[in-house]
Amino acid sequence: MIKRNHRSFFDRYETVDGLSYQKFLEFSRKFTKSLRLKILIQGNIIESRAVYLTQLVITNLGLRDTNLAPEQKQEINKIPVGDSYLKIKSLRHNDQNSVIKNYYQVGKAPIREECMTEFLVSVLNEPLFDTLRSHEQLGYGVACSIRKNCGVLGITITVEYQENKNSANLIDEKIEEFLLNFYLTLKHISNEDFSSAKLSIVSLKLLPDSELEKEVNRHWDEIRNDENVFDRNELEAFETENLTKDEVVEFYCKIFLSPHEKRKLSVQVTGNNENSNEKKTTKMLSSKEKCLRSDFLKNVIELKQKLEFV
Amino acid sequence: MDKKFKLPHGFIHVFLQSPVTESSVSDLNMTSIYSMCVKNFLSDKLFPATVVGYSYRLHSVDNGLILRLSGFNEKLPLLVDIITKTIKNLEGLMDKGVFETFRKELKKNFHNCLVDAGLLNE
Repeated sequence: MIKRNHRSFFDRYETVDGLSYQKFLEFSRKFTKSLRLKILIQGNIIESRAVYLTQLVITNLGLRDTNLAPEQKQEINKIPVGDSYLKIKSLRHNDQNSVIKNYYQVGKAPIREECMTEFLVSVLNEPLFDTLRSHEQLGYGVACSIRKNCGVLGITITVEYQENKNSANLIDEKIEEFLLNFYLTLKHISNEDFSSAKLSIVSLKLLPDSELEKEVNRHWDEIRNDENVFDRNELEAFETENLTKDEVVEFYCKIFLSPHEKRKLSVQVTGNNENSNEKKTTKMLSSKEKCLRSDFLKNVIELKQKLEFV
Repeated sequence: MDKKFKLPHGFIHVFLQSPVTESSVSDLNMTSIYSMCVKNFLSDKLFPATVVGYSYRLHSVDNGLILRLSGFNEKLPLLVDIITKTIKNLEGLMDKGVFETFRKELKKNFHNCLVDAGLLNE
């Protein structure tokens, strides 16, 4: 739903049988001619050696265009204001496991908002788990995380539960109830607690990379996401340090509560509540798949067509 | 050149972007199969290297292939050489049987993704 040109598993699954060896060979020729490169070399390697390695890659692969791979222009859909729902039944007949993911889109965020998003996720995690899992026993897996697609941020709350015990609607309601209650908690948080929450994030960010591998992976992520902010941790530490309670509370409201500003997408894969003695086979997938797929795709396509880009 | 950690290790990350991969679902699937086939032919050749601590990862993504290598910097160029040549010359190594094997494996992977509620949600 989020990435404009995402290829769903359904589509991918369906087209696999149509691939022939002949087409594969044609593909290979096209493919190897079309490659463009981005490379990161780090470690106990001097510059001239790194250049040699890059040249080796270019030569071996026959890359004619020695320009870097262009910046990725992935188009990300803007979730409409308010609440949107995408529901689909699980494909496993006897499986009662369900997963609901509520995604609250933040949008293209400058670094300060990104820090606020991270801050919220870090203070939400434990209370969320506590309330939804320990107290209310709604599901066996509860988590809150930040999601980033090409610079577009969002917060995802995931609950894994059993269909015979709870329904998706109930879980959704409970999540919203929690978010509403938490607003008050956040509003009345003491200055001390607020500062110490900030401090724990900042100290983590300012920890130096313990291994070369960690540093390389960090650099690679920046390159891969075309962001190239290699001193990200320092910048984010600085911004997080300077967050004020008021702006965080306002941001929280905007993302989760305000009906005119929030952009929520709830994706629900619901398990099957029936007790059936049917055997699970691949045939099951293809017969159920057809009716599920048409519903699923219809919903997705309809919804996607109405969406603008972020 | 790394002066902080002072180890005889090197890391090479390569992203091979291809507009072909993004152009259609079939091409995306083909890219996945391509990477599986390359790995298939590399596994024999590079097994000794992996035993002594070199590691390589190759996988397909939405818009191409990603290759990650690490190990003692001495022999990294050799690994790079072997892997890139295999990527380029895969056609010469292939036969229908190998293709079919991985095509079926890819299908199985998708099937597993579709029946897992969590993955389907993503």
